[in-house]
Amino acid sequence: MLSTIQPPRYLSRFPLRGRTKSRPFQSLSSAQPVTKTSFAADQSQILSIRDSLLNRHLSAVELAHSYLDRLKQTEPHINCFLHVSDPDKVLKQAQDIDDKIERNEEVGPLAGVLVAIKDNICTADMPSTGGSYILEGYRPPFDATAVKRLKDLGAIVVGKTNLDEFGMGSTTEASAFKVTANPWDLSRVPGGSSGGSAASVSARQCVVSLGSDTGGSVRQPASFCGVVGLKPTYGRVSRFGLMAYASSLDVIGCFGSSVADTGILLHAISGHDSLDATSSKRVKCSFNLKLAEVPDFTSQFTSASSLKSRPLEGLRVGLIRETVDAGVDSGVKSAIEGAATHLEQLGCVLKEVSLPSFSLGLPAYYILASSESSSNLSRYDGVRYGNQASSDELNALYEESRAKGFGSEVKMRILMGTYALSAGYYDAYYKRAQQVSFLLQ
Amino acid sequence: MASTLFRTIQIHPFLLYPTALFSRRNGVLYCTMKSSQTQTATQEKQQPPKVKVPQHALKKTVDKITKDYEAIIGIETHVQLSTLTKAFCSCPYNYGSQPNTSICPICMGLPGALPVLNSKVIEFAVKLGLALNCKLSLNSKFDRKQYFYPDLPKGYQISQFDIPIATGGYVDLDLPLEFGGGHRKFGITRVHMEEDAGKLLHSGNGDYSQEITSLTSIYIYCFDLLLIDTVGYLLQVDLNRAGVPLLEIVSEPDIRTGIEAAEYAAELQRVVRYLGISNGNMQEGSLRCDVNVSIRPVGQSEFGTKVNSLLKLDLWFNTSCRFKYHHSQGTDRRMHFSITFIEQSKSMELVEFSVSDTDNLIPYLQALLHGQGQSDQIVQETRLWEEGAQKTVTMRKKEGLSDYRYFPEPDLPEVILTQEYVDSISNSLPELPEVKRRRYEKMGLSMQDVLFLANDMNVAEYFDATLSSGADIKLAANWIMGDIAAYMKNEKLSINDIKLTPQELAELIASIKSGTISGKIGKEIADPVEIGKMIDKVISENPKQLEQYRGGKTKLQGFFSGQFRFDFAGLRPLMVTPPARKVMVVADPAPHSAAALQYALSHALLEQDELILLHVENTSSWKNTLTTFLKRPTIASAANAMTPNNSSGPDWGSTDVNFLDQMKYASEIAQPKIPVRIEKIDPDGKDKATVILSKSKDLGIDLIIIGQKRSLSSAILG
Repeated sequence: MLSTIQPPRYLSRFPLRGRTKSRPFQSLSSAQPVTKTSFAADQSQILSIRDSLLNRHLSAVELAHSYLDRLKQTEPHINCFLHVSDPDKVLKQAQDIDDKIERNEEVGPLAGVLVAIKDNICTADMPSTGGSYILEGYRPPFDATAVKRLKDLGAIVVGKTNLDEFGMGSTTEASAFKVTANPWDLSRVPGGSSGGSAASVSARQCVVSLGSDTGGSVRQPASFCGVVGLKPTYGRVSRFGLMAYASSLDVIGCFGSSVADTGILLHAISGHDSLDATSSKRVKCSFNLKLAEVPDFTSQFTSASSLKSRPLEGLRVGLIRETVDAGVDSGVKSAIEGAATHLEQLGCVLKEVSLPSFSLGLPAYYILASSESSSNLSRYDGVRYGNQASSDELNALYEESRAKGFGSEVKMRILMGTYALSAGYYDAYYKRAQQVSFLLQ
Repeated sequence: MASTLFRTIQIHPFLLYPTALFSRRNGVLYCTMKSSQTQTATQEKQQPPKVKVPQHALKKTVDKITKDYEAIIGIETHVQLSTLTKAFCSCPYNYGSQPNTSICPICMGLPGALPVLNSKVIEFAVKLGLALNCKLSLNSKFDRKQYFYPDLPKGYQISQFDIPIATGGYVDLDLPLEFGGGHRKFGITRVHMEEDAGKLLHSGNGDYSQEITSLTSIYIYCFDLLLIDTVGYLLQVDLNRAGVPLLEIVSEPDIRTGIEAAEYAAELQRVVRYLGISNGNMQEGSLRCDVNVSIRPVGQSEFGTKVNSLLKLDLWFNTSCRFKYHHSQGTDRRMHFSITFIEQSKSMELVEFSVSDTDNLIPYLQALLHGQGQSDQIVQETRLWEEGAQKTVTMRKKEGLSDYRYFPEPDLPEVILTQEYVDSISNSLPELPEVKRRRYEKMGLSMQDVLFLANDMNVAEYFDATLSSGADIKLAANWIMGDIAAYMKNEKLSINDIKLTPQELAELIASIKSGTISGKIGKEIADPVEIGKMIDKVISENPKQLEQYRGGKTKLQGFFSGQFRFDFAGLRPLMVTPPARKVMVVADPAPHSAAALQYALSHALLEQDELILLHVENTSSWKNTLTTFLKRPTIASAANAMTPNNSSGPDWGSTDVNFLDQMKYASEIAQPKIPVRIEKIDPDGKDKATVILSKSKDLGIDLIIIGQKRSLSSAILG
């Protein structure tokens, strides 16, 4: 939508060509209703997959094969994944879905959808390292709530994507294991920290993916990779199973190749979770801010062809002055202004607003995030799980396990956070940052 | 550090005793606690100065110190809450279960796991806060307290820092009379919620190898165990206790003596038991006390640097004694309590030192008193109560204030209490010990009685129930503190185990009071006829109970036993010039009967008496237990003469032996002058107790002795 010029793709965008192309949208059997009416399936891969499966135009196994083949072909160039699921297991799950469809049984709304999961989100059946050497080979005994919800809805986990160690970074170069390339230009970074998740969707190695966002880790790589990234409101999605970086800011986010896919994915994973005390109990809001009885983002979907010429007529949008002020890069500035113009064309009324505390956000973020991370990463001590340095002595065991296990970016943030929380500095740093945080809320 | 360790062992050889666990713990701490070089140097310098002080001079010095200095004691108490599940996950906690069998990703601190607060913890905290007269914070929060230790899985403990749930309360207590008595009120600084840590298992010898094997096999998540091989020891973590909810109660430094400290802890134990929020068992670690002691010159208002001593205040008496020695007898060898002094002369600069035994104490005190402040020898330390040696030992030296880097726990929302919630809990609180004591006091009971009755919640409940059944206050108190307490003590029972119900006790007291049964029955014992009358009386006065008992209400056994025990209570001491009596022992081939006979022979029978062995026939069911009687060691003293080579004795080997003959024979050997008669009686379908009583009446029996057995015999004598 934005007027940014995207680089030419190094890799072709459509792995499913010849299989799903030009499948007309068809009404479905009454036994398996799909909750949409006028929305064209070709704007959502998830809906398109569902249509194809239910109409027997495509089997889940075929679909899985096509993605796995593409993954196999592209992965050596991009390095999105720290762990790829066993193809046999993926195909077995796909076969189960096909069998269910064959028997006319109910399948979940995400049946056959291949999702990639950022490696700092726990998955029971595969390694979850958070991109850190200290957790190399660690396999959690449980699924994160978000992952569990996706699986319950029929999604198939295709692998664990690369990230900056524990989400600390914005290039995916801070991973302990590999560097992920941008699918549009292999010489560039995909952004981060959810670079692997963004790149894998961009390269069509999976349909959608989960990432995590603490300070832009979903939004920025989505932008870098030309996919849709969504950072939900804090508390909307359960954090249970997300390796904590900064607990009060961490959010599990969604990547998709369309707004529709991202919305469907968010709908699937959001909602209160009894395992996360900070997850919101409020009913989900629809995007027009009316409390929805049926919390379904997809109900708001409209086919592009049925839109009026000015579909956003009546919507008032604030343009934050501080984001286009002096000091902002001219490229960024022009992109924001381009977007503003575009919104006006769609019928919005733009109004410039000022947020005086805007500039405080970043320093406050760094204090809060590093403080919380210094605490959250304390559990990686080599005692109960993960890599353990061999040592004769307890303090040396801690020191060496952590010295060898953490990368330099993580160590720096732990040091910063420890400093900010130390007696005598707490009031000057953490407390003030927290005040800013309350102010911004 | 090596020298430190060496020194410790040299001075405290008990470190090697009793288990490797303990010595290991010290070892680990010595090895692992980061200690600066200067501290080591301090340690080395802390050798007793080579000053020979004459004995009488020491005594004088100590007297002066105890007169001029006072102890300032504050206590931090951790109470483990008896919630069904842990504080932040759904794991149950049962003390003593196999290591790592009650754990989950949350209490193991696995990546991605989040805490969710158990609402019972809040409820219990509010209860305790109210019970300790605290002000509750309607808006409080949790914080993280951060430090590294293998028993702390997350690297931080979820606790409450600057806004505890309850603050500014007090606890009232009454000191035991044997320690001078008196009422005390100690301030409570705060009560806050937190989670417990796991336990370290130390293995140096075979003692723990079994636990380690089971640990390995039971460990459900297949993670690497902590294996630290230092000097041949194995250190492992049991996380069962990790995440168990605790309430920490911090007292004001109002406590001045060991007795007060012990009573403060005892009162907290009572309060948590009355509230039902913890079992308060110290042996299980459900109640733990950290005692902070410093000593200052009398009249000074600043406190010295504290010595934190983890004391297992298990045996109140021991503790009290220890504190007492500490306070009054600085030289007592059993008193190895560390003491911190502050010296006033250096204005605001606090000078303190600690000594770990009395050899060091005296010269240091002298040094202090003579103004030669040896500030370089002053160490703040944490000391551990050592059960085996009954004293404290150095656990770790502190370099100063630890920085726990507290900050608000972002994974948990704020704790918000509504006034209605607090009120509803406030209205549901039980009567607390202090209120109970004041109520008992108002009833006119002496402080001795008040403390006895109110100190144990179950005794207090029993007493209250007896009163509510209409019993006289003083008589009920006397009965409970006298006969019932003695019975409980002898039988090692709690008051909940005895069969006499409070209602029955109340009836008994009522009948004594109304004169139907005289409390001074001993005086009438001189007339043998009275005995029979008395038994008749007990039975006939209580036809309802007898009927109920016959109807199978076994609880009434306790009623009758109570009646008879009482009736016979005054008997023996009055037998100064007794007439010839008929003493009946109910005989059957069971050990308790043998014991009864032995008792009769050794205690009850006098020369002119006649012994009647009464057997209620029901032989078929008893035949098999015959050998038990023969083997019973308690008969041995009576049967000493019955050596196997005594050919004149009955045939012991036969299974068809008449045990009555054996008993008769044993009696004749033990008390040759006493005639022994055997009586058999056929119950004829009647209740055994009734048969015995009617028979004794027929025979004009003066004294019945029946062996203790939980079942039938207790129906008569208890």
